Amino acid sequence: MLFNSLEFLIFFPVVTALYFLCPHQWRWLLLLVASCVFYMFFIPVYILILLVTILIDYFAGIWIENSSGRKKKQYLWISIISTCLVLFVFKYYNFFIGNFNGVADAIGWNYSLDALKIILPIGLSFHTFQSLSYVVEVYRGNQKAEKHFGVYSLYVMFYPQLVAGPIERPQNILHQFYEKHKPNYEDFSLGIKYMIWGLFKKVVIADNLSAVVNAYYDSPEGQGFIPLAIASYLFAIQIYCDFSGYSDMAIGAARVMGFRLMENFNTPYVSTSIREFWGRWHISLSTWFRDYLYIPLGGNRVSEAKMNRNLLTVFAVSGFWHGANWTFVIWGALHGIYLVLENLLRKLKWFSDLVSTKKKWLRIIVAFIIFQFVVLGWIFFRANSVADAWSIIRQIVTLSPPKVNMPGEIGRIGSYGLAFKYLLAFGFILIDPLLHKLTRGRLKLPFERPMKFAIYGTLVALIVLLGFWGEVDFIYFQF
Amino acid sequence: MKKIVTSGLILLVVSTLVYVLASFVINNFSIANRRASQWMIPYLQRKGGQEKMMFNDWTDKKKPDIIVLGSSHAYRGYDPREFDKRGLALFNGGTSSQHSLASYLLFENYFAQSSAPLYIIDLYEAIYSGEGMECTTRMIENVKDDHTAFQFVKQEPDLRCFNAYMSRLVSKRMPDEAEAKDYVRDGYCSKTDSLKEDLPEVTVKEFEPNEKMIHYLDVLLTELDKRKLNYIMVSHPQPPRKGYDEFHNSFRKVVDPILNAHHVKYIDYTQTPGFITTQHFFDLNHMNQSGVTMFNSMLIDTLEKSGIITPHAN
Repeated sequence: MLFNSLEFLIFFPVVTALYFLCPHQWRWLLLLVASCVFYMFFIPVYILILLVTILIDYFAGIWIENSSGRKKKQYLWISIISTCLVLFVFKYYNFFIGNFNGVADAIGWNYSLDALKIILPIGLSFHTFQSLSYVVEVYRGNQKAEKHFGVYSLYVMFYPQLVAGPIERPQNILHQFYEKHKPNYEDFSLGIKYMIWGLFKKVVIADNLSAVVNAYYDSPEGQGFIPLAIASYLFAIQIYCDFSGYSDMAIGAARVMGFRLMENFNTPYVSTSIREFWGRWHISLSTWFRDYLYIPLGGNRVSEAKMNRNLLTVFAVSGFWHGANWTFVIWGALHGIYLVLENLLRKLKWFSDLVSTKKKWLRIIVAFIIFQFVVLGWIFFRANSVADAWSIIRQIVTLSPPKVNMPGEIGRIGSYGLAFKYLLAFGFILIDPLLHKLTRGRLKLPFERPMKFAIYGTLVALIVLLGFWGEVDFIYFQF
Repeated sequence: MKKIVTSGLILLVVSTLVYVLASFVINNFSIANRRASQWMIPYLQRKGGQEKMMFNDWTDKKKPDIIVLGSSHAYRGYDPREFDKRGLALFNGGTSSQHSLASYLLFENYFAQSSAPLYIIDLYEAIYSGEGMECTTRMIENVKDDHTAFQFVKQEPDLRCFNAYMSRLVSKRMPDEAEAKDYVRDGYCSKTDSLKEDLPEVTVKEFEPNEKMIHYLDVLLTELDKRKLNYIMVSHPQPPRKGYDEFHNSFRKVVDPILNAHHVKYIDYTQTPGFITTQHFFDLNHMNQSGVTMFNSMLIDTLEKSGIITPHAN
């Protein structure tokens, strides 16, 4: 079920109402059933895959807690390997087979393996990482093993964050399933504001921009530098609105019922360094990699060379987490390289002063420069292949003029339609920092209450009127 | 709890007011001969064009011998002038991408009243597989009355239909935006240019039905049966293309059970010999005037021979 669907418009109020009407001791069951229904709207049988992951890590958690020494470590590794195996089979098997066949072909080895004909279960990478987080925290002694199978299942399956995060930590969410939540105006109001702003970002901004981005990125050859540069900037806004929109809706839907999920985005494009960008973009994933990969590899407490190697490794793995394609690996590695270079440059005083400047005008200039590096990364992330990404970069860098007719879709949108989409994107850049703060109650307005009704009422009206109500999935669902 | 309900209601009222106001504004000023809404909302359709002219030509007093329903293949494939020559009055109720839900609603609201001696339903694959939103929003914008437009919104509970209906309601004073230069009369449009070369092989071999549209085909035929009206299904000629037969057969597998259940006569001209791509078609699958003349002559001969229609003197 999609957050921007008619089904969810019925599902959400019904589940919320039932949640508050239901006796406290049965609420976990209600949420679990609702989460199963939510998930089974995609491919029903895939819930069995989720069940396998849940079973593995539920028992692993208990065994880890009840054992010590080598045995404890063994249980942890059994759990990690089996959970990752599920991810490998469904997400990466075909990628490796494809590469294996390619190499075999290149060296003239007449041997090829068949790819699996399977569809990737929606949100697999997200709930796999959430499960791994649980077993690691139990191993580290930061979290007690959850004995209640239903509550543990809910930890993995809680519908607001089931398919695209935020990737929660057990310490933050598990205890909340035992707390008795009462209907509360503050939670309700905050949750609805999150949901409205998230939905606006998704259906008004991201989905309206997707038509232009897709048209150019699906056949980039010969399109020329201006359209491709514009499409790349639009994609930067599209992916931010798409993913942060989903996260905001997830946080909001949970908050209406009294649950507090972690923040996942914090206006990342105002960052004045790549390090700051990763502190603001997909926070639940970047902190996951920090806590469960970067720090175990040695983190900052090793030699500079090892630290840089760790950074590159973590970001390449992060890229691979996003998708089984070299484009994602390159995107991740590129960010790793940015960070290594940034760390080297930070030794220079002028650079260190520049990225931590408090001067507003200078911050805008530096953020603009950092944004260019981020957009360069997005070209790899969005391109259908590495060859396409190089073609786009080559055409932009060489200021190549258009050599083919514009895509048919762009013709259908028309020049005024395009102008409107550009206006939407530009307008969004201006209002995002303000609405981000307002939604989180960090911006004070004169005539607070009427102003908020006017602003969120206008957003709802624009969602209905300008929303792209065709079938457009959330980009991060594929991960 | 009271505060939650009150706030919810205030939000609803404010957003409704802003929605109506914003709809009014973007639908009441034009940029480059189109309402601003047309540039901002991709699924909205222009006012006017073939549909508007067809509805203008249709009156309740009209008593044609044959009424055709279907997509652009209908309004570009059945020429009232060719039927006139054979002593038959034909009205072409085809509209762009007209799906079976639209055919059903147009029949119910307009064409059933005349109880024509024969209804021809043009059967074209793509209409039964797509989402059909283009047709629905086009109908909401251009049908003769608000009541029929609302029937479409009721049958397709989708925000896009609701917005299209609102657009219709708030922009009545705005002029038409689309023209149909090739419009002839009684719903029919004609093209004379031809394709320059043969068409490539059909790549999609398996027909993927839109169950809702398949269902409405059944509903339409049931309604025609209930009213004891005479009807046939016709598939217009297609340009010869390698691989088309496979695709068409997979389509037939889906619709044939419905047609058999209603004992309907189905005349399938899709792969009729004699139709040449570069002489009888002006695009991928629409006939030009030369193709239409040939096809209509064949169709009338068949209808006469099988006793489905009897021509009368003009």
